[in-house]
Amino acid sequence: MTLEVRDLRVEFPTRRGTLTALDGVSFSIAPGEVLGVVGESGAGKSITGLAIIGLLEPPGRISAGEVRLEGRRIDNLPPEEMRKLRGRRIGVIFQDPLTSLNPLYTIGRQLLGEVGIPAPAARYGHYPHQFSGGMRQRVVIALALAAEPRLLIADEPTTALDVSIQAQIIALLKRLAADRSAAVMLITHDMGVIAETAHRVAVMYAGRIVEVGSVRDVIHAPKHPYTVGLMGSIPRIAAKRSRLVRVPSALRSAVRALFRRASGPDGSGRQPRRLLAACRCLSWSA
Amino acid sequence: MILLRRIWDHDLAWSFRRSPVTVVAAALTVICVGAALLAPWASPQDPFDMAALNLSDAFTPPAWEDKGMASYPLGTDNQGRDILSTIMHGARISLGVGIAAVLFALVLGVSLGLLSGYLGGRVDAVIMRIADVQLSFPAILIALLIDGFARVALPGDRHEDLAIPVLVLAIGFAGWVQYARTVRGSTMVEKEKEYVQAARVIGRRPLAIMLSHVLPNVTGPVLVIGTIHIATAIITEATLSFLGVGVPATRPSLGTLIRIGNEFLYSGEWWITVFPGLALVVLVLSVNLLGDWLRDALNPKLR
Amino acid sequence: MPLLKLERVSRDFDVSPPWLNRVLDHEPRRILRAVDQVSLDIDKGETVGLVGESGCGKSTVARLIVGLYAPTEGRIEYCGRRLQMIFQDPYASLNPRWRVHDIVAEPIRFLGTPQKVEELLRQVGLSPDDGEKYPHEFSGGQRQRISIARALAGEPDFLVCDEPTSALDVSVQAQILNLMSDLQRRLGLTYLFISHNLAVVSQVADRVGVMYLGRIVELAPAAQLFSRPRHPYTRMLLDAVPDLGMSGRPRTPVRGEVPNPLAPPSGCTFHPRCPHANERCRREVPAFIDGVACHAVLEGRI
Repeated sequence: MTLEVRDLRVEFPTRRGTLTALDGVSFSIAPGEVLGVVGESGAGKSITGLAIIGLLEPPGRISAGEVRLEGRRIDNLPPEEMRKLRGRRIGVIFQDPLTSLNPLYTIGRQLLGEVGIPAPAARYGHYPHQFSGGMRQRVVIALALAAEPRLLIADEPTTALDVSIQAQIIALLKRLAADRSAAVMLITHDMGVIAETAHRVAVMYAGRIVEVGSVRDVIHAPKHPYTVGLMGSIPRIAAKRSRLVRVPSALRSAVRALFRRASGPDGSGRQPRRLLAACRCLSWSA
Repeated sequence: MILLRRIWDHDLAWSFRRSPVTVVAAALTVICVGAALLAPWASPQDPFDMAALNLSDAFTPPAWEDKGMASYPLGTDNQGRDILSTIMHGARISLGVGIAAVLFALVLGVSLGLLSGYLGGRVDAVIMRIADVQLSFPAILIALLIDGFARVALPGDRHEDLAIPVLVLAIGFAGWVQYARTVRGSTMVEKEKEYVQAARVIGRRPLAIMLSHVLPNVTGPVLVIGTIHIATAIITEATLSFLGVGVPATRPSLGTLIRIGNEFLYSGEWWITVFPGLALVVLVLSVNLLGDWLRDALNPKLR
Repeated sequence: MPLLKLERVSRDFDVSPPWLNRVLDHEPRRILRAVDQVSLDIDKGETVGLVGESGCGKSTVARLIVGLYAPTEGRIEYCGRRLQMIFQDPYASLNPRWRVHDIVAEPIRFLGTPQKVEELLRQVGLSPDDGEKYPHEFSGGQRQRISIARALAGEPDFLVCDEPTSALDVSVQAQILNLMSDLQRRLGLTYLFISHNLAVVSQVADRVGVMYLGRIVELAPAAQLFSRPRHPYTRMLLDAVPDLGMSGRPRTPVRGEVPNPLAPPSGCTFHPRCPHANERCRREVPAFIDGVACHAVLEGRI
């Protein structure tokens, strides 16, 4: 296993109490496998990625659990060690290609040809602002893969891009990861991207993984009420026009409860954790 | 009670409580302002009432010195005026002029900044060029210029009555640019936001949008600038008064007192200039520190 | 008699460098044609979807219709009573310093409509007590509901919706789309629904227009557009949408990127990316005939 995460807990101490952003998350990724991590805002998917690469914003911290890269524990490394790991063995791609690149440095030449940028020798000396969004994201991917990492973490890599560019970037990621046998953790809220790219998918809600399985299984035969509701909410082309969120009646009240957001004082619509417990009463097992 | 509790719990109050420097600065500011406001009633002596003065008490040193007297805690000046009283009254003038000037600069600067940022185009270009030109002159010079112009323009007998209003205008005009620039920048950002466009779709007029929608969202930094500006304005007034072109000597401010006392510094009567000087420093420093804290506390990035 | 009629509407933006720079560096004026000869009729009760990628001009069309911009060429005719608009960003579309009550009441006060704030809040699924709160106390989906309430306060017959659900989570999006279709049925509204998300548009629209670099390249009933797309760009877009059904359908790979709108290609602006482009496509701008602007389609080549 390239990446193993066990019982990971991430907490943020605030003035009003401790916020548990991740509540016992466990999963693993094999070499050459693409694991999709999907969920809506507030589910904790980005936090998971940040915790793994050691970039949690203080005062957030890992309070329990462990993260292993190729068998070796990395969650308790000193910052200097983590920094060395980050470029070399773990590659990261973030959502916004505009801010991912330092605008003052030019692009290196040999990276560009591999990710499909035409006339790479000519564009070697160009600056980020001279590239379009899709091109920039290719550059970011090139940078992430340059040191032949074992693990690649992509956080919403296609969200800021147009749909036609999205397709190109997805194909690129798949090909490059397979060629290098890198393990890929693909974090996104877009189930469509997961369907195209990932082998397995983990569905997150309120800091926990509520369902994990092969992409085919989770999309076509979801088990957890949240996944059922989520799949029902996704509009699809060529489906008949109807009200969204068609859910089998047995699960309807559970789904409705999970999807009703509390408008608490912070208004963040943070997913209510207590409702997860209610799901255990239903006939569903992990 | 609940309101008090909510204020106490507010982020701002919490940040305030955590910084001992700020608490001290706030306390000092309150003392200075209080003393200044209550001067006519709280000062031991009314230094401008000629009848109450005792010329034979002139040049009395502070109370803890050899020839000092308890009734004059900080000593007296060359006319027998109690220094403590003159300081309290002087602070009143200094603070009054400072705050008035800041209010004037604020209103002028915010208005011009709003117009400049929202209307853009030629209006913006003209206002910003004027601002740029003005920024290349030191504030003191601008204040001197306006003051000098007023002296020439106004009839001689009105000089004294109008000295303080002219001073307020002068310092105010010298300082509007910083407000205008900040507000202009924020206005340009807010103008593009969808809630402004929604108001335009409803059909509201530009002036209504500027005042009811944009203005409440751009005044944050203005508060901080204003607080620090009070300190600067007081210093500017003190400088002008020290140079002799500020408030008339019959109603001296702290700056005037320093100037008057300066003449006696080398003949040994140091307290006539040092105590007003100290008072000015304490006042300006505490207001400045308060402004610094406010700026950091309101900065969302530092929270 | 259509409710809204756009006749060969164009909109230019002057993006030239400032006057001083132009004089000193001898740079030319630069004009961006964001919308190019767009003609569109919308009938009462319809929902027309407008799709396209970033820079295609769909948001500019929205703003032209509600009057935030004036057309550089062409005419816009509106025969109804009032237009309102719903915006994309739920965080920027409500004034953070105003209470919700005042936000929703603004059109009532200014336009004099006989609506009540409490009733409007209830209509969009919020509680009348929410009027006392400030926008930051609500989630993204709830804020969009407030925006909808504000739009309805103006008693519009036509609602321009500029990516109203793009910033929302998928589950919240579903709720808002359901709400919007309920409101349309109950109040007899007409919608122009703008989005880059084809799946969402397929759920809500009766007719769909596809835009590319400021022009409408195809306009057809939704069922037809999604099952039998004619224009090569429409086909490319539909192919690029990730296949949730995982049907394993064959997909033509997507070529190239949207060109710089300041220097659009000659003739049919899509020709550099089009697998069916010929010499005529490079020279001649295709006319919009029978719902599609493509030489190859008109010539029967595809």
